[in-house]
Amino acid sequence: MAQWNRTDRMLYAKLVYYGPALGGKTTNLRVLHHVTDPNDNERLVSVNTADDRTLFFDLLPFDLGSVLGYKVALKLYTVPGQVRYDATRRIVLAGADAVVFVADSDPTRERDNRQSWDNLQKSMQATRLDPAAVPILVQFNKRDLPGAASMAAMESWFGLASGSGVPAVACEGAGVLETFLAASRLMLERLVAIAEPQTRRSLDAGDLAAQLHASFAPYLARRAEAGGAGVKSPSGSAPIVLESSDLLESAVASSVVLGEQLADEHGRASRLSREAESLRRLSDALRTTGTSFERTALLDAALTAVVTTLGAAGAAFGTLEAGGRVRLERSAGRDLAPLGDDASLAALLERMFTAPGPSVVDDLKLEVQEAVGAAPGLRALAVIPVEPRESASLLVAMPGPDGAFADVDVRFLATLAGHLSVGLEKVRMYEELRAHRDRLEEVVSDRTRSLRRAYDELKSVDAMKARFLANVSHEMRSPLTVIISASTFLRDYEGDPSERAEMASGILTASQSLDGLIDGLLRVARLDAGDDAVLEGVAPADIVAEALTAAGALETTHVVLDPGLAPVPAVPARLARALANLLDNARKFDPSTEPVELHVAPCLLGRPGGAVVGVVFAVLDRGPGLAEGDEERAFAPFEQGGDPLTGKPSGVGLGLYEARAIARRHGGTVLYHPRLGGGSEFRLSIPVETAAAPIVKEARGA
Amino acid sequence: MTAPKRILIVDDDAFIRRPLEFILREEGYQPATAADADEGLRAVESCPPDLIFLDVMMPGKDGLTWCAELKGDPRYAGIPIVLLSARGQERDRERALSLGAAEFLTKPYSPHELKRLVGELLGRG
Repeated sequence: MAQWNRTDRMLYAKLVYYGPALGGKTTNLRVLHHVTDPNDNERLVSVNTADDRTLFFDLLPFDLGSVLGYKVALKLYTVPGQVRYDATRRIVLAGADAVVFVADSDPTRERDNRQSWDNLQKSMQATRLDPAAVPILVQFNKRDLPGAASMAAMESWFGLASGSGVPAVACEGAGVLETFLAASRLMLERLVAIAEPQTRRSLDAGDLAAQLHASFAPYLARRAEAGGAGVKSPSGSAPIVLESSDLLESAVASSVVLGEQLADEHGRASRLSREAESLRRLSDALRTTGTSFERTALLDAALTAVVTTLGAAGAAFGTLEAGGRVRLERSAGRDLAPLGDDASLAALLERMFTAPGPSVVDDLKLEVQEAVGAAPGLRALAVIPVEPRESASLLVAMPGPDGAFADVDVRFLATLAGHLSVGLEKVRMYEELRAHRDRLEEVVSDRTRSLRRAYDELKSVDAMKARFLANVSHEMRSPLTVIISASTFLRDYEGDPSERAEMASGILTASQSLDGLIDGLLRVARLDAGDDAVLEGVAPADIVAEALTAAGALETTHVVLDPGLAPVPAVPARLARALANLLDNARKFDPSTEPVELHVAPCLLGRPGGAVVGVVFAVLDRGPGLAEGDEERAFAPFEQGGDPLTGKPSGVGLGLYEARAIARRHGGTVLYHPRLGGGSEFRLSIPVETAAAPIVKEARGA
Repeated sequence: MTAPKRILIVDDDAFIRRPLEFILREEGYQPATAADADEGLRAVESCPPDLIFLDVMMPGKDGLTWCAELKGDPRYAGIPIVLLSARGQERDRERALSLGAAEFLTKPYSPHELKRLVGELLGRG
């Protein structure tokens, strides 16, 4: 690599002579050394290798004088031509600013030439020399050989443009300086072109070729002095020969190691930068998913990062399911799912997924010989745990034949797995939050619904209260009218005795009516307030007797009582009141002369946990019955059926409401059925066992 | 001395009808009674009264309906009608007056107020 020293105005550059063994590289350098340093101030150094081939490791500081305003100091090297010194060649080649390829014109050496040329290309690639930035000049040496290959043929060996090679007979000194001059020019042109801007500003570019010629003029003149036949080589200046080849070789070897380490470092650095780039992309993805929280997007970003960073054949995210089968959730690159189709590969995957840490198989072929057909083109596998509790891991496959996982790869994957785990946790938290929010919304809308129901109930209770007041006041107005008018008559007029008696009787009846009304109101008030009356076992027959008395229906009711009924848990007076209300209604609405029927029998009551045994009190009449659709309305408080005789509502409209409310306090209910053949059947049923607490407060409405 | 004014009392409740009948008789009117609209119509046709007290809520044809029918009949449209109701809502009162009733009284009414109203309607102090 050229170095411009702007303080000293020095340019240090490196020119490497490459080519097949015994092609004349060393000869070129000896001639140059002799011409440019006739006093042998700088020693040519060569090393003899163990065999009789010669390995030259030449160093030739070379003053080109002032070119471009800089003094150019060139170091010239040859590389060993023998095929097996590849590593040494690469070290020497590293950092070259230009290459002279010395080709052998001996047509029998075409293959060696081609091989060396190919080797040059490979070595440049290995040492990261850009062929576009490092010029190569080809010298066709040994042009004096009888039967030398034609220049055109040689150009075709290397795919060169016609006339681009420089002919030479190095051992005669012919063409050596020309080659050197041409190579230097190419090199300097290239160095000027790629120099940094601040360096280029300090260059005295001008006519580069002219400057070079001027610089070379003394040497060219010296060669002319020598008689045109060129400079014989080697003349007086024998190279320093280091016989202790072991020492040198170990120096070369350590250079090689150092060089390789450098190359390694370089590779590692570029790999690290690739990894950093990948992690940055993943963290971008994490940030993105931070707003969208898409599990699949996150997984895809991570898997794509793995494939592009490691050059993996494929990467997938999967979990080990119960039963040991690996289920792949997402993948990038090659589909790895078919791996699980092979029994031994599946077993391997299961082992790798259950490993506590990263698990790597470097050579699938060694691990599962017979199964390698199921994984064609795959060489190495790695499984990196992401979420150990879920046995969720990254599965990465490297392609054959050279794919492998270096330590740094595994470290990278572990880092990435950590990022991914954090990301997945975020996604999960977000999903939980979202579910929680959905639940909250549900709860809120539930509450809203119940509030709405409660509000509607309250409104209907309000309406009921209003209706109740209207009904009550109406029920009071008629008897009050009677009392006021009759008593006014009695006070203000004589009348005859029969009229006075009629008025008194009217007042009494009206007063009784008011009394009954007040009694009903008080009972309803008690019902609504609820109480803690204790249930006691009471025989159904006793309830019936009390109810008949209360309703004054002893004479008009036909009772059918099932014998052997067990006592029922009840508040006797309450239950009798409920039954009396039903009997009262039946008598009130039954215009026939047929007696009202009361049947008492065992029954089953449907309950959520199954039917329970109870007793039913069925009151049957031949009245008009309830109109279809009115069956439930009749049970609402203050709903009154019209008096079939007068069309007037009778009572406060609380009979059925009260009866059902009382039945429910006993864990039962009152239901209406149309009676076969016309009429009503009201069935009051209560359970015999009161395992379930009786409903204390009646839910209204709904 | 002119003939006593005839007043027809229509109410299904005898306990309400009777004290009113006695009081009006004592005040010098000639009251007649009917228990529903049909009976009332027969009374009106046989001998048109000078004033009708009419209960709103009755079995069969209710008071409002019959009031409207009488007001639609040119023979009887001129007879003033006082509607009596146990329901004292303003809505009922407006409806009664719009049907042509002379007055709408809410039960329980005071007999003295009733006497004053009769005097007004029949042009007697």
